Amino acid sequence: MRISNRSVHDRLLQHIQRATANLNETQERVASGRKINRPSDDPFATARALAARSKLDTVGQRIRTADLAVTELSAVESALESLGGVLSRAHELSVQADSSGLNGDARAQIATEVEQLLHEALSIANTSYSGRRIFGGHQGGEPFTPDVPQNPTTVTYNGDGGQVLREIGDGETIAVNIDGDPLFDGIFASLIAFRDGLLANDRTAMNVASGDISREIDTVLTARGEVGARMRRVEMTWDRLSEEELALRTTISGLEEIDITQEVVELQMRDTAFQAALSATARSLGPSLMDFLR
Amino acid sequence: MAISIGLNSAVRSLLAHQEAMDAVTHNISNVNTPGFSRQRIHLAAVAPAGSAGVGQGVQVLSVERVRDMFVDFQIRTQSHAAGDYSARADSLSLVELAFGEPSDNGLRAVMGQFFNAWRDLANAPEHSAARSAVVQSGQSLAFVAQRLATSMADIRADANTRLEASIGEINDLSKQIAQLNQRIIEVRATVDPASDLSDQRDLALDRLAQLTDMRTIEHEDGHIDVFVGGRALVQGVKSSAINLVPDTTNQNFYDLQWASDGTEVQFQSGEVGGLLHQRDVDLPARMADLNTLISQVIADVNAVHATGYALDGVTTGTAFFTGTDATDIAVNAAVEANLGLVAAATATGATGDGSGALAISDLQRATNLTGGSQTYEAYFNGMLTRLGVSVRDASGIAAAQGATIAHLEQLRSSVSGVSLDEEMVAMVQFQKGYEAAAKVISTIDEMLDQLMAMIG
Repeated sequence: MRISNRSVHDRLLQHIQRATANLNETQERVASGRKINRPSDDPFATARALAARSKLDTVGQRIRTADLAVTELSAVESALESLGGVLSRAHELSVQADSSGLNGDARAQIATEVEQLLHEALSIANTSYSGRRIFGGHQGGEPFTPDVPQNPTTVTYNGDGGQVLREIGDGETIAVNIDGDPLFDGIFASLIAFRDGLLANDRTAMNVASGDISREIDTVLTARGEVGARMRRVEMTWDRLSEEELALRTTISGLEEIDITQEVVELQMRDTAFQAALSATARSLGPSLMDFLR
Repeated sequence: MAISIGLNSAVRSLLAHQEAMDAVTHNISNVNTPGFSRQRIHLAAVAPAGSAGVGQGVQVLSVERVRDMFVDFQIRTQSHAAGDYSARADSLSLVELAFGEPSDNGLRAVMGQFFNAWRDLANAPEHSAARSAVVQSGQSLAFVAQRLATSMADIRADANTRLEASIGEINDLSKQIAQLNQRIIEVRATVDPASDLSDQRDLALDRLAQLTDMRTIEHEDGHIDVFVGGRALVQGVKSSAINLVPDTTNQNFYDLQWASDGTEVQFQSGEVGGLLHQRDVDLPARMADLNTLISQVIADVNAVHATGYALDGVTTGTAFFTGTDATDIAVNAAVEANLGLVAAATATGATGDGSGALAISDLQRATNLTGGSQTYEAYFNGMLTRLGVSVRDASGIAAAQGATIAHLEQLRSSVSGVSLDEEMVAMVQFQKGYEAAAKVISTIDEMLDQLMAMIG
């Protein structure tokens, strides 16, 4: 093939440009640390990376929700624990009050303590967590109101049976509340009956109330068991979500990020190729017949 | 044989070598001129005056450019596709840049944040901060969608502007070619091959081939006719202008019409073909995809939102978004003004109910697109994959065409390009020839002197 000056120049320029483009491409990858900087770098890997990123966003949100659900269930759990304490104390008092050696005055004294326990139960029933009444269903405001604030004879429920649901998986929800009405209805009734029995010095009524209180203790224990089971479920989900999050992060970095060792070696190679193209150009542009025609 | 004949031969030789030297000078001078073809001088012996005897020296038969017409044809054919796909690749890369994926602040990310904000609201329906976050993430979604729609509209308008420039260039080139045709016809009538004018015309034709898919026919008298879309752009010494006529039915983008009768110019390929494809086919299709996605989001979110109840537990039937597609999506101004209108509940009078918000966040998993088979994200990822493949293919084809053309240009250059070494050799060769002819003249002069002395 005949070689013209122009073809030499054009070809050398082409080589340099290609070497520069290659070098630039690797430099961009090394500098950004990413092998996908735009969809056209690898359209299908991009689609997978995007899907994984979306999934990661959702999983991250679910983990936050699960964290929230655990703390909310803990709030219910500790309220139930306190409630159990109140009822146990009431039961102890019912055993004490049943003693035949006690007179009306002594029973009236016990009644004062029962009155305090009733108020404590009321305040537990109206517990709020982060602005939400945990036994009020979907309603705001105090769910339980006594008819007479000092000496309640009945307590009215103002909440509803709404379940407060937390989404911890696709379409998978868990309730973080317990319906307050069926739980507290018997508790208030039995405590009020016990107090009234004490004040009336009526042992029969006291014994009936004592039996009711021990049944309510069982109800609270059952509720605690239920809440504990829910917490374990949320914790298991939390573990699964964390594993999923880690797996997704690994997938994304595998798809989007470069293998730095490999890329740096590649960069070295391309840099060498670029230098070679430059030095070949410098040599090829040098000699001409003109140098020798003197 | 008369001495004067020898003298004449020597003079012819001097003149021929001088002309050959002129050709060398011309070649060397144009070593870097784009489109220049080296010129070769054809020397021939002059036959003897009579029927026999010694010839009468040398003469210049012709000065011709060295050119391979087949390579020219090949380069131009490849240029159509190269121009077409590089125009497409340029425009598509801009779209890719506008989407800016993969990233944490593109449309995918803000859409994800939007639905997550609803989940957060479901977790705390009584908190105004959560309501505010829902509205803000809705505003971000609307902003990013609108920005994408605007960018794509801008890229379309840019294709139109570039089209205007390209058509201007085509009109200039066709005028140039027609003028060169005229001069070539005139010069060739004087038996000169019009090498330099042909080079200029070839350069113009090369550029025209990048701009549009044109066909050429060369005629006996040296003029070339150029056809685009079956009609003559250049015929002999006349060129037909192409007019840019704003089309009111197509956002006042230009229609390309023959000036003579207003019919549409049928461009298939080349830069103009690629730009037309982007402006009228590809970009509108991608905008339509984006609008389909955003319209669906607006319709679905509004439908679910309308069934929910506001914080007051009474108000229902409120739309969350206004607008119909990516160009005008916005959060309902009434909701922006009153965060309480965000419907988180599905029952009346239940301030702690977040099931309405949860129902909206569930839309993220709903397959409401592509005939009920794709989620918003799957649809968006599909759009982006198609875009990535298109960019890669268009850039790939443009690069491959570029490489083919570069190779063909090497071929052309190896035939037509000037080699300085070669010219140096020719220069020395013609210099020696000239010297020798001069020496012959001085020798004949001596001979004549001797003759004169004898007479004297």
